[in-house]
Amino acid sequence: MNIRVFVVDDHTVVRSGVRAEVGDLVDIVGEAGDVQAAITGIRDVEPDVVLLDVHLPDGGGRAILDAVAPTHPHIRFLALSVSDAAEDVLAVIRGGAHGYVTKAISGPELYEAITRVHAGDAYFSPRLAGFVLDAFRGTAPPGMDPELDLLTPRERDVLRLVAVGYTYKEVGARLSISARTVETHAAAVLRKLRLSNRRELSRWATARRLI
Amino acid sequence: MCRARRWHRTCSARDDGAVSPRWLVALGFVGLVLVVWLSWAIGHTPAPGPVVMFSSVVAVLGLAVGPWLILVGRRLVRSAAGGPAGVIFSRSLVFAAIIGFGGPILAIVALDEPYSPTLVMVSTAISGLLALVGGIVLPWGYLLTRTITKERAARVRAEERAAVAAHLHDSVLQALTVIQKRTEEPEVRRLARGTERELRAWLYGIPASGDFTGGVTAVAEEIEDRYDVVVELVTVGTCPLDPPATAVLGAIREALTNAATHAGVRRVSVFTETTDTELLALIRDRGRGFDPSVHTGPDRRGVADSIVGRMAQHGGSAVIRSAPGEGTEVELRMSP
Repeated sequence: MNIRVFVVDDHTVVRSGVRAEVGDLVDIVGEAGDVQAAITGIRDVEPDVVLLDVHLPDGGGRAILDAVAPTHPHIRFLALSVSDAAEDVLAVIRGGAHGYVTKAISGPELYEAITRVHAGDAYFSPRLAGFVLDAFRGTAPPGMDPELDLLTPRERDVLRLVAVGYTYKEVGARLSISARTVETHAAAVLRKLRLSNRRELSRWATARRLI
Repeated sequence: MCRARRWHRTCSARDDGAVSPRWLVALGFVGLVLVVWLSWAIGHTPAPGPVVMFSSVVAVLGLAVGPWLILVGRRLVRSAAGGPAGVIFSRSLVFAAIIGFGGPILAIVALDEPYSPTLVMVSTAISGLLALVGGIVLPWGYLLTRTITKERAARVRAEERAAVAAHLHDSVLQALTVIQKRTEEPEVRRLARGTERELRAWLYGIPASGDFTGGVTAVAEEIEDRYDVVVELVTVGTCPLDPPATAVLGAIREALTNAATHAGVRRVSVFTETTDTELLALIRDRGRGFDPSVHTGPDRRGVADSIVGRMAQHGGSAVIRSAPGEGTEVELRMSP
Protein backbone atom coordinates (compact mmCIF):
# COMPACT_ATOMS: atom_id res chain seq x y z
CA MET A 1 0.00 0.00 0.00
CA ASN A 2 1.25 3.45 -0.86
CA ILE A 3 2.15 5.97 1.82
CA ARG A 4 -0.72 8.42 2.42
CA VAL A 5 0.57 11.99 2.20
CA PHE A 6 -1.05 15.31 3.13
CA VAL A 7 0.47 18.50 1.63
CA VAL A 8 0.34 21.82 3.50
CA ASP A 9 1.59 24.84 1.54
CA ASP A 10 0.14 28.26 0.84
CA HIS A 11 1.53 28.20 -2.71
CA THR A 12 -0.59 26.24 -5.19
CA VAL A 13 2.45 25.84 -7.44
CA VAL A 14 4.16 23.82 -4.69
CA ARG A 15 1.15 21.59 -4.11
CA SER A 16 0.81 20.83 -7.81
CA GLY A 17 4.58 20.44 -8.04
CA VAL A 18 4.57 17.79 -5.30
CA ARG A 19 1.72 16.02 -7.08
CA ALA A 20 3.69 16.03 -10.33
CA GLU A 21 6.91 14.78 -8.70
CA VAL A 22 5.72 12.04 -6.35
CA GLY A 23 1.99 11.70 -7.11
CA ASP A 24 2.56 8.28 -8.75
CA LEU A 25 4.60 6.89 -5.86
CA VAL A 26 2.46 7.99 -2.91
CA ASP A 27 -1.25 8.64 -2.34
CA ILE A 28 -1.86 12.34 -1.88
CA VAL A 29 -4.91 12.21 0.35
CA GLY A 30 -5.39 15.90 0.97
CA GLU A 31 -3.92 19.36 0.83
CA ALA A 32 -4.40 22.68 2.58
CA GLY A 33 -3.21 26.24 2.15
CA ASP A 34 -3.59 27.66 5.65
CA VAL A 35 -3.20 26.64 9.27
CA GLN A 36 -6.87 26.10 10.16
CA ALA A 37 -7.72 24.10 7.05
CA ALA A 38 -4.59 22.01 7.59
CA ILE A 39 -5.43 21.14 11.21
CA THR A 40 -9.01 20.15 10.31
CA GLY A 41 -7.91 18.24 7.20
CA ILE A 42 -5.10 16.32 8.89
CA ARG A 43 -7.38 15.29 11.78
CA ASP A 44 -10.01 14.19 9.27
CA VAL A 45 -7.96 11.97 6.94
CA GLU A 46 -5.18 10.95 9.40
CA PRO A 47 -2.40 10.65 6.78
CA ASP A 48 0.88 8.79 7.31
CA VAL A 49 3.09 11.74 6.44
CA VAL A 50 2.43 15.48 6.33
CA LEU A 51 4.59 17.65 4.04
CA LEU A 52 4.67 20.86 6.00
CA ASP A 53 5.61 24.31 4.72
CA VAL A 54 7.72 26.14 7.31
CA HIS A 55 6.28 29.53 6.42
CA LEU A 56 2.50 29.85 6.48
CA PRO A 57 0.25 32.79 7.28
CA ASP A 58 -1.17 32.70 10.85
CA GLY A 59 1.57 30.94 12.75
CA GLY A 60 3.54 28.84 10.29
CA GLY A 61 4.17 25.12 10.29
CA ARG A 62 4.94 25.25 13.99
CA ALA A 63 1.30 26.07 14.83
CA ILE A 64 0.10 22.95 12.99
CA LEU A 65 2.70 20.77 14.70
CA ASP A 66 1.69 22.08 18.12
CA ALA A 67 -1.98 21.41 17.40
CA VAL A 68 -1.75 17.97 15.79
CA ALA A 69 1.42 16.21 16.97
CA PRO A 70 0.38 15.71 20.64
CA THR A 71 -2.98 14.11 19.75
CA HIS A 72 -1.80 12.13 16.68
CA PRO A 73 1.68 10.80 17.51
CA HIS A 74 1.62 8.29 14.63
CA ILE A 75 1.52 11.06 11.99
CA ARG A 76 5.03 12.00 10.77
CA PHE A 77 5.95 15.47 9.62
CA LEU A 78 8.49 16.43 6.94
CA ALA A 79 9.26 20.16 6.74
CA LEU A 80 9.50 21.72 3.29
CA SER A 81 10.72 25.25 2.66
CA VAL A 82 12.39 27.71 0.32
CA SER A 83 13.57 29.62 3.34
CA ASP A 84 17.22 29.81 4.34
CA ALA A 85 16.60 31.05 7.88
CA ALA A 86 18.22 28.47 10.17
CA GLU A 87 16.20 29.40 13.25
CA ASP A 88 12.88 28.77 11.46
CA VAL A 89 14.01 25.38 10.24
CA LEU A 90 15.37 24.31 13.62
CA ALA A 91 12.17 25.52 15.31
CA VAL A 92 10.08 23.14 13.19
CA ILE A 93 12.48 20.25 13.87
CA ARG A 94 12.34 20.96 17.58
CA GLY A 95 8.55 21.15 17.29
CA GLY A 96 8.47 17.52 16.17
CA ALA A 97 9.19 17.31 12.44
CA HIS A 98 11.31 14.31 11.47
CA GLY A 99 13.18 15.99 8.68
CA TYR A 100 13.65 19.04 6.50
CA VAL A 101 14.06 19.37 2.74
CA THR A 102 14.31 22.40 0.48
CA LYS A 103 11.79 22.84 -2.31
CA ALA A 104 14.56 22.52 -4.91
CA ILE A 105 14.64 18.79 -4.07
CA SER A 106 14.18 16.36 -6.96
CA GLY A 107 11.26 13.90 -7.17
CA PRO A 108 13.24 10.74 -6.27
CA GLU A 109 14.92 12.50 -3.33
CA LEU A 110 11.57 13.73 -2.05
CA TYR A 111 10.21 10.19 -2.27
CA GLU A 112 13.24 8.90 -0.37
CA ALA A 113 12.66 11.54 2.32
CA ILE A 114 8.96 10.65 2.64
CA THR A 115 9.78 6.94 2.93
CA ARG A 116 12.41 7.57 5.61
CA VAL A 117 10.17 9.82 7.68
CA HIS A 118 7.31 7.33 7.33
CA ALA A 119 9.56 4.58 8.70
CA GLY A 120 10.18 6.78 11.74
CA ASP A 121 13.72 7.74 10.75
CA ALA A 122 15.20 11.21 10.67
CA TYR A 123 15.80 12.77 7.26
CA PHE A 124 18.47 15.42 6.96
CA SER A 125 18.82 17.43 3.78
CA PRO A 126 22.35 18.75 3.08
CA ARG A 127 21.27 22.18 4.27
CA LEU A 128 19.82 20.89 7.54
CA ALA A 129 22.99 18.86 8.15
CA GLY A 130 24.96 22.11 7.76
CA PHE A 131 22.65 23.96 10.17
CA VAL A 132 23.04 21.19 12.75
CA LEU A 133 26.85 21.06 12.47
CA ASP A 134 26.87 24.82 12.86
CA ALA A 135 24.56 24.68 15.90
CA PHE A 136 26.72 22.09 17.69
CA ARG A 137 30.03 23.75 16.97
CA GLY A 138 32.73 24.05 19.57
CA THR A 139 32.74 22.74 23.10
CA ALA A 140 29.84 22.58 25.54
CA PRO A 141 29.48 25.64 27.78
CA PRO A 142 30.16 24.94 31.47
CA GLY A 143 27.23 23.60 33.47
CA MET A 144 25.69 21.68 30.59
CA ASP A 145 25.67 17.95 30.09
CA PRO A 146 28.32 17.39 27.40
CA GLU A 147 26.80 14.00 26.55
CA LEU A 148 23.62 15.74 25.57
CA ASP A 149 24.95 18.81 23.86
CA LEU A 150 27.84 17.60 21.77
CA LEU A 151 27.87 15.39 18.73
CA THR A 152 30.17 12.39 18.67
CA PRO A 153 32.96 12.38 16.04
CA ARG A 154 31.05 9.64 14.19
CA GLU A 155 27.84 11.68 14.13
CA ARG A 156 29.82 14.61 12.74
CA ASP A 157 31.31 12.39 10.02
CA VAL A 158 27.81 11.24 9.05
CA LEU A 159 26.46 14.81 8.93
CA ARG A 160 29.42 16.03 6.83
CA LEU A 161 28.77 13.39 4.18
CA VAL A 162 25.01 14.12 4.25
CA ALA A 163 25.87 17.82 3.81
CA VAL A 164 27.67 17.03 0.56
CA GLY A 165 24.72 15.08 -0.82
CA TYR A 166 25.34 11.41 0.10
CA THR A 167 22.37 9.14 0.83
CA TYR A 168 22.41 7.12 4.06
CA LYS A 169 23.36 4.02 2.09
CA GLU A 170 26.28 5.81 0.47
CA VAL A 171 27.35 7.25 3.81
CA GLY A 172 27.41 3.73 5.22
CA ALA A 173 29.52 2.42 2.33
CA ARG A 174 31.91 5.38 2.56
CA LEU A 175 32.42 4.99 6.34
CA SER A 176 32.35 1.18 6.23
CA ILE A 177 29.36 0.92 8.54
CA SER A 178 25.86 -0.44 7.86
CA ALA A 179 23.03 1.77 6.63
CA ARG A 180 21.17 0.87 9.82
CA THR A 181 24.00 2.33 11.91
CA VAL A 182 23.82 5.52 9.86
CA GLU A 183 20.11 5.71 10.65
CA THR A 184 20.87 5.24 14.35
CA HIS A 185 23.36 8.11 14.23
CA ALA A 186 20.82 10.33 12.46
CA ALA A 187 18.18 9.50 15.08
CA ALA A 188 20.64 10.34 17.87
CA VAL A 189 21.41 13.71 16.27
CA LEU A 190 17.71 14.48 15.97
CA ARG A 191 17.19 13.63 19.64
CA LYS A 192 20.10 15.84 20.73
CA LEU A 193 18.76 18.64 18.59
CA ARG A 194 15.41 18.47 20.38
CA LEU A 195 16.87 18.15 23.87
CA SER A 196 19.69 20.66 23.59
CA ASN A 197 19.55 23.91 25.46
CA ARG A 198 16.99 26.10 23.80
CA ARG A 199 18.71 29.31 24.81
CA GLU A 200 22.04 28.22 23.38
CA LEU A 201 20.46 27.40 20.03
CA SER A 202 18.53 30.62 19.78
CA ARG A 203 21.61 32.61 20.72
CA TRP A 204 23.51 30.86 18.01
CA ALA A 205 20.73 31.55 15.51
CA THR A 206 20.66 35.23 16.39
CA ALA A 207 24.42 35.53 16.08
CA ARG A 208 24.33 33.81 12.73
CA ARG A 209 21.78 36.22 11.40
CA LEU A 210 23.93 39.14 12.43
CA ILE A 211 26.96 37.91 10.49
CA MET B 1 10.28 70.56 -11.95
CA CYS B 2 12.04 73.90 -12.10
CA ARG B 3 8.87 75.76 -11.31
CA ALA B 4 8.07 73.62 -8.36
CA ARG B 5 11.53 74.21 -7.09
CA ARG B 6 11.29 77.97 -7.33
CA TRP B 7 7.96 77.91 -5.59
CA HIS B 8 9.45 75.85 -2.83
CA ARG B 9 12.26 78.35 -2.44
CA THR B 10 9.96 81.37 -2.06
CA CYS B 11 7.93 79.35 0.36
CA SER B 12 10.89 78.62 2.58
CA ALA B 13 12.08 82.22 2.24
CA ARG B 14 8.80 83.37 3.74
CA ASP B 15 9.23 80.86 6.53
CA ASP B 16 12.64 82.31 7.26
CA GLY B 17 11.02 85.74 7.69
CA ALA B 18 8.75 84.47 10.50
CA VAL B 19 9.95 84.17 14.08
CA SER B 20 11.55 80.78 14.60
CA PRO B 21 9.89 78.35 17.05
CA ARG B 22 12.97 78.47 19.27
CA TRP B 23 12.55 82.21 19.85
CA LEU B 24 8.82 81.77 20.48
CA VAL B 25 9.49 79.15 23.14
CA ALA B 26 12.08 81.45 24.76
CA LEU B 27 9.63 84.37 24.74
CA GLY B 28 6.92 82.14 26.19
CA PHE B 29 9.18 81.13 29.07
CA VAL B 30 10.11 84.78 29.72
CA GLY B 31 6.36 85.49 29.89
CA LEU B 32 5.81 82.65 32.37
CA VAL B 33 8.64 83.95 34.58
CA LEU B 34 7.09 87.41 34.45
CA VAL B 35 3.70 85.97 35.51
CA VAL B 36 5.34 84.53 38.61
CA TRP B 37 7.05 87.84 39.27
CA LEU B 38 3.80 89.78 38.76
CA SER B 39 1.78 87.61 41.13
CA TRP B 40 4.51 88.15 43.72
CA ALA B 41 4.58 91.91 43.06
CA ILE B 42 0.80 92.28 43.42
CA GLY B 43 0.91 90.81 46.89
CA HIS B 44 4.11 92.44 48.11
CA THR B 45 4.40 95.93 46.61
CA PRO B 46 2.09 98.90 46.86
CA ALA B 47 -0.34 99.05 43.91
CA PRO B 48 0.67 101.49 41.17
CA GLY B 49 -1.82 103.60 39.28
CA PRO B 50 -4.62 101.79 37.39
CA VAL B 51 -3.19 102.43 33.94
CA VAL B 52 0.28 101.09 34.80
CA MET B 53 -1.31 98.17 36.62
CA PHE B 54 -3.65 97.27 33.76
CA SER B 55 -1.11 97.58 30.99
CA SER B 56 1.54 95.60 32.83
CA VAL B 57 -0.94 92.78 33.53
CA VAL B 58 -2.00 92.72 29.86
CA ALA B 59 1.62 92.83 28.65
CA VAL B 60 2.77 90.01 30.96
CA LEU B 61 -0.23 87.78 30.20
CA GLY B 62 0.19 88.45 26.48
CA LEU B 63 3.84 87.48 26.66
CA ALA B 64 3.04 84.33 28.65
CA VAL B 65 0.21 83.12 26.41
CA GLY B 66 0.90 84.71 22.98
CA PRO B 67 3.98 82.73 21.86
CA TRP B 68 2.37 79.42 22.76
CA LEU B 69 -0.77 80.46 20.88
CA ILE B 70 1.30 81.19 17.78
CA LEU B 71 3.07 77.82 18.04
CA VAL B 72 -0.18 75.87 18.37
CA GLY B 73 -1.78 77.96 15.62
CA ARG B 74 1.08 77.17 13.23
CA ARG B 75 0.83 73.46 13.93
CA LEU B 76 -2.93 73.58 13.32
CA VAL B 77 -2.35 75.34 9.99
CA ARG B 78 0.42 72.91 9.01
CA SER B 79 -1.64 69.81 9.81
CA ALA B 80 -4.33 71.29 7.52
CA ALA B 81 -7.71 70.18 8.81
CA GLY B 82 -7.34 70.83 12.53
CA GLY B 83 -10.84 69.40 13.00
CA PRO B 84 -12.30 69.97 16.47
CA ALA B 85 -8.97 71.38 17.65
CA GLY B 86 -9.24 74.22 15.12
CA VAL B 87 -12.79 75.05 16.21
CA ILE B 88 -11.87 75.12 19.90
CA PHE B 89 -8.79 77.19 19.10
CA SER B 90 -10.60 79.93 17.15
CA ARG B 91 -13.66 80.11 19.46
CA SER B 92 -11.50 80.31 22.56
CA LEU B 93 -9.56 83.18 21.04
CA VAL B 94 -12.75 85.06 20.13
CA PHE B 95 -14.19 84.64 23.65
CA ALA B 96 -10.88 85.51 25.24
CA ALA B 97 -10.74 88.71 23.19
CA ILE B 98 -14.36 89.64 24.04
CA ILE B 99 -13.84 89.12 27.77
CA GLY B 100 -10.36 90.62 27.78
CA PHE B 101 -11.46 93.86 26.07
CA GLY B 102 -15.09 93.84 27.20
CA GLY B 103 -14.34 93.75 30.95
CA PRO B 104 -12.22 96.92 31.10
CA ILE B 105 -14.50 98.80 28.65
CA LEU B 106 -17.50 97.83 30.77
CA ALA B 107 -15.66 98.92 33.89
CA ILE B 108 -14.63 102.29 32.49
CA VAL B 109 -17.56 103.25 30.24
CA ALA B 110 -20.76 101.55 31.33
CA LEU B 111 -20.49 101.51 35.13
CA ASP B 112 -21.21 104.56 37.23
CA GLU B 113 -18.10 104.32 39.22
CA PRO B 114 -15.09 105.78 37.45
CA TYR B 115 -12.96 102.68 38.01
CA SER B 116 -13.48 99.11 39.15
CA PRO B 117 -10.09 97.41 39.55
CA THR B 118 -11.59 94.08 40.56
CA LEU B 119 -13.67 93.72 37.39
CA VAL B 120 -10.70 94.65 35.21
CA MET B 121 -8.39 92.20 36.92
CA VAL B 122 -10.95 89.37 36.92
CA SER B 123 -11.88 89.80 33.25
CA THR B 124 -8.21 89.94 32.23
CA ALA B 125 -7.44 86.82 34.22
CA ILE B 126 -10.43 84.93 32.78
CA SER B 127 -9.42 85.98 29.29
CA GLY B 128 -5.88 84.74 29.85
CA LEU B 129 -7.07 81.46 31.34
CA LEU B 130 -9.46 80.92 28.44
CA ALA B 131 -6.72 81.51 25.92
CA LEU B 132 -4.45 79.15 27.85
CA VAL B 133 -6.90 76.24 28.07
CA GLY B 134 -8.89 76.64 24.84
CA GLY B 135 -6.11 78.00 22.67
CA ILE B 136 -3.15 75.96 23.89
CA VAL B 137 -3.82 72.98 26.17
CA LEU B 138 -6.83 71.43 24.42
CA PRO B 139 -5.66 71.80 20.77
CA TRP B 140 -2.16 70.66 21.76
CA GLY B 141 -3.56 67.59 23.48
CA TYR B 142 -5.72 66.84 20.47
CA LEU B 143 -2.82 67.11 18.05
CA LEU B 144 -0.69 64.89 20.28
CA THR B 145 -3.25 62.08 20.57
CA ARG B 146 -3.93 62.27 16.85
CA THR B 147 -0.21 61.86 16.12
CA ILE B 148 -0.05 58.82 18.40
CA THR B 149 -3.11 57.25 16.74
CA LYS B 150 -1.62 57.93 13.31
CA GLU B 151 1.68 56.35 14.27
CA ARG B 152 -0.07 53.27 15.61
CA ALA B 153 -2.07 52.92 12.39
CA ALA B 154 1.11 53.32 10.36
CA ARG B 155 2.80 50.59 12.39
CA VAL B 156 -0.11 48.20 11.86
CA ARG B 157 0.00 48.94 8.13
CA ALA B 158 3.76 48.32 8.05
CA GLU B 159 3.33 44.96 9.79
CA GLU B 160 0.64 43.92 7.33
CA ARG B 161 2.85 44.95 4.46
CA ALA B 162 5.76 42.93 5.89
CA ALA B 163 3.57 39.82 6.11
CA VAL B 164 2.44 40.25 2.51
CA ALA B 165 6.05 40.84 1.45
CA ALA B 166 7.21 37.65 3.20
CA HIS B 167 4.56 35.66 1.35
CA LEU B 168 5.49 37.32 -1.94
CA HIS B 169 9.20 36.64 -1.48
CA ASP B 170 8.39 33.00 -0.84
CA SER B 171 6.26 32.90 -3.99
CA VAL B 172 9.00 34.45 -6.10
CA LEU B 173 11.67 32.09 -4.73
CA GLN B 174 9.28 29.23 -5.38
CA ALA B 175 8.62 30.33 -8.96
CA LEU B 176 12.35 30.72 -9.62
CA THR B 177 12.99 27.21 -8.25
CA VAL B 178 10.30 25.74 -10.51
CA ILE B 179 11.72 27.58 -13.53
CA GLN B 180 15.20 26.20 -12.89
CA LYS B 181 13.87 22.68 -12.44
CA ARG B 182 11.69 22.58 -15.54
CA THR B 183 13.31 24.67 -18.25
CA GLU B 184 15.77 23.24 -20.76
CA GLU B 185 17.00 26.68 -21.86
CA PRO B 186 20.44 27.39 -20.35
CA GLU B 187 19.95 31.15 -20.64
CA VAL B 188 16.60 31.06 -18.81
CA ARG B 189 18.12 28.85 -16.13
CA ARG B 190 21.00 31.24 -15.66
CA LEU B 191 18.65 34.18 -15.39
CA ALA B 192 16.44 32.43 -12.82
CA ARG B 193 19.48 31.29 -10.84
CA GLY B 194 21.01 34.77 -10.79
CA THR B 195 17.73 36.35 -9.70
CA GLU B 196 17.23 33.78 -6.97
CA ARG B 197 20.75 34.42 -5.71
CA GLU B 198 20.18 38.17 -5.56
CA LEU B 199 16.84 37.79 -3.76
CA ARG B 200 18.31 35.37 -1.23
CA ALA B 201 21.30 37.59 -0.61
CA TRP B 202 18.95 40.49 0.06
CA LEU B 203 16.57 38.47 2.24
CA TYR B 204 19.05 36.52 4.32
CA GLY B 205 22.09 38.77 4.24
CA ILE B 206 25.09 38.58 1.95
CA PRO B 207 27.90 36.40 3.31
CA ALA B 208 30.74 38.62 4.45
CA SER B 209 33.10 38.88 1.53
CA GLY B 210 36.80 38.76 2.15
CA ASP B 211 36.64 35.67 4.37
CA PHE B 212 36.80 32.02 3.38
CA THR B 213 33.03 31.42 3.19
CA GLY B 214 32.56 34.57 1.09
CA GLY B 215 35.29 33.29 -1.23
CA VAL B 216 33.71 29.83 -1.57
CA THR B 217 30.31 31.41 -2.31
CA ALA B 218 31.87 33.59 -5.02
CA VAL B 219 33.68 30.60 -6.59
CA ALA B 220 30.43 28.55 -6.56
CA GLU B 221 28.53 31.36 -8.30
CA GLU B 222 31.29 31.80 -10.85
CA ILE B 223 31.24 28.07 -11.72
CA GLU B 224 27.42 28.06 -11.91
CA ASP B 225 27.42 30.93 -14.37
CA ARG B 226 30.31 29.73 -16.49
CA TYR B 227 29.29 26.07 -16.91
CA ASP B 228 25.50 26.19 -16.37
CA VAL B 229 25.56 23.76 -13.45
CA VAL B 230 24.00 23.96 -9.99
CA VAL B 231 26.50 24.09 -7.14
CA GLU B 232 24.82 23.02 -3.90
CA LEU B 233 26.84 24.75 -1.25
CA VAL B 234 26.74 24.14 2.50
CA THR B 235 29.22 26.03 4.66
CA VAL B 236 29.87 25.74 8.39
CA GLY B 237 31.98 28.43 10.05
CA THR B 238 34.47 30.67 8.34
CA CYS B 239 38.01 32.01 8.71
CA PRO B 240 40.16 34.79 7.24
CA LEU B 241 41.54 34.29 3.74
CA ASP B 242 45.17 33.67 4.71
CA PRO B 243 47.51 31.88 2.24
CA PRO B 244 46.51 28.32 3.30
CA ALA B 245 42.79 29.17 3.06
CA THR B 246 43.41 30.78 -0.32
CA ALA B 247 45.13 27.58 -1.45
CA VAL B 248 42.08 25.55 -0.38
CA LEU B 249 39.87 28.00 -2.27
CA GLY B 250 42.01 27.51 -5.39
CA ALA B 251 41.79 23.73 -5.02
CA ILE B 252 37.98 23.94 -4.64
CA ARG B 253 37.83 25.96 -7.84
CA GLU B 254 39.93 23.33 -9.66
CA ALA B 255 37.77 20.49 -8.35
CA LEU B 256 34.54 22.29 -9.30
CA THR B 257 35.81 23.13 -12.78
CA ASN B 258 36.84 19.54 -13.19
CA ALA B 259 33.41 18.26 -12.14
CA ALA B 260 31.54 20.80 -14.25
CA THR B 261 33.49 20.01 -17.42
CA HIS B 262 34.05 16.25 -17.14
CA ALA B 263 31.44 14.66 -14.89
CA GLY B 264 28.54 15.10 -17.31
CA VAL B 265 26.00 16.01 -14.62
CA ARG B 266 24.36 19.32 -13.86
CA ARG B 267 24.72 19.20 -10.07
CA VAL B 268 27.82 19.39 -7.89
CA SER B 269 27.81 19.52 -4.09
CA VAL B 270 30.30 21.39 -1.94
CA PHE B 271 30.66 21.26 1.85
CA THR B 272 33.16 23.32 3.80
CA GLU B 273 33.75 23.35 7.54
CA THR B 274 36.13 25.57 9.43
CA THR B 275 37.12 24.68 12.99
CA ASP B 276 39.94 25.89 15.22
CA THR B 277 42.07 22.96 14.20
CA GLU B 278 41.21 22.27 10.60
CA LEU B 279 39.72 23.47 7.36
CA LEU B 280 37.77 20.73 5.57
CA ALA B 281 36.24 20.82 2.09
CA LEU B 282 34.34 18.08 0.26
CA ILE B 283 33.45 18.40 -3.41
CA ARG B 284 31.26 15.71 -4.88
CA ASP B 285 29.47 14.87 -8.10
CA ARG B 286 27.46 11.84 -9.19
CA GLY B 287 28.91 11.90 -12.68
CA ARG B 288 31.03 9.70 -14.86
CA GLY B 289 33.96 9.25 -12.52
CA PHE B 290 37.37 7.98 -13.59
CA ASP B 291 40.08 5.57 -12.56
CA PRO B 292 42.50 7.49 -10.34
CA SER B 293 45.28 4.98 -10.97
CA VAL B 294 45.39 5.71 -14.71
CA HIS B 295 47.77 8.58 -15.40
CA THR B 296 47.03 9.21 -19.05
CA GLY B 297 43.32 9.99 -18.94
CA PRO B 298 42.08 13.01 -20.89
CA ASP B 299 43.71 15.67 -18.67
CA ARG B 300 41.90 14.38 -15.57
CA ARG B 301 44.99 13.17 -13.82
CA GLY B 302 46.64 16.50 -14.56
CA VAL B 303 43.91 18.40 -12.79
CA ALA B 304 44.04 15.95 -9.91
CA ASP B 305 47.76 16.56 -9.61
CA SER B 306 47.30 20.31 -9.55
CA ILE B 307 44.77 19.96 -6.70
CA VAL B 308 47.11 17.72 -4.69
CA GLY B 309 50.05 20.04 -5.46
CA ARG B 310 48.25 23.18 -4.33
CA MET B 311 47.32 21.59 -1.02
CA ALA B 312 50.73 20.04 -0.38
CA GLN B 313 52.46 23.39 -0.87
CA HIS B 314 50.80 24.69 2.31
CA GLY B 315 51.01 21.49 4.32
CA GLY B 316 47.50 20.28 3.47
CA SER B 317 46.26 17.06 1.93
CA ALA B 318 43.92 16.09 -0.89
CA VAL B 319 42.28 12.70 -1.38
CA ILE B 320 40.45 11.99 -4.63
CA ARG B 321 38.01 9.06 -4.58
CA SER B 322 36.54 8.03 -7.89
CA ALA B 323 35.68 5.03 -10.01
CA PRO B 324 34.20 4.88 -13.51
CA GLY B 325 30.43 5.36 -13.23
CA GLU B 326 30.49 6.18 -9.54
CA GLY B 327 31.09 9.91 -9.46
CA THR B 328 33.99 11.72 -7.85
CA GLU B 329 34.68 12.97 -4.37
CA VAL B 330 37.51 15.35 -3.55
CA GLU B 331 38.43 15.71 0.10
CA LEU B 332 40.65 18.65 1.08
CA ARG B 333 42.13 19.13 4.55
CA MET B 334 44.32 21.95 5.75
CA SER B 335 45.60 22.70 9.26
CA PRO B 336 46.18 26.36 9.95
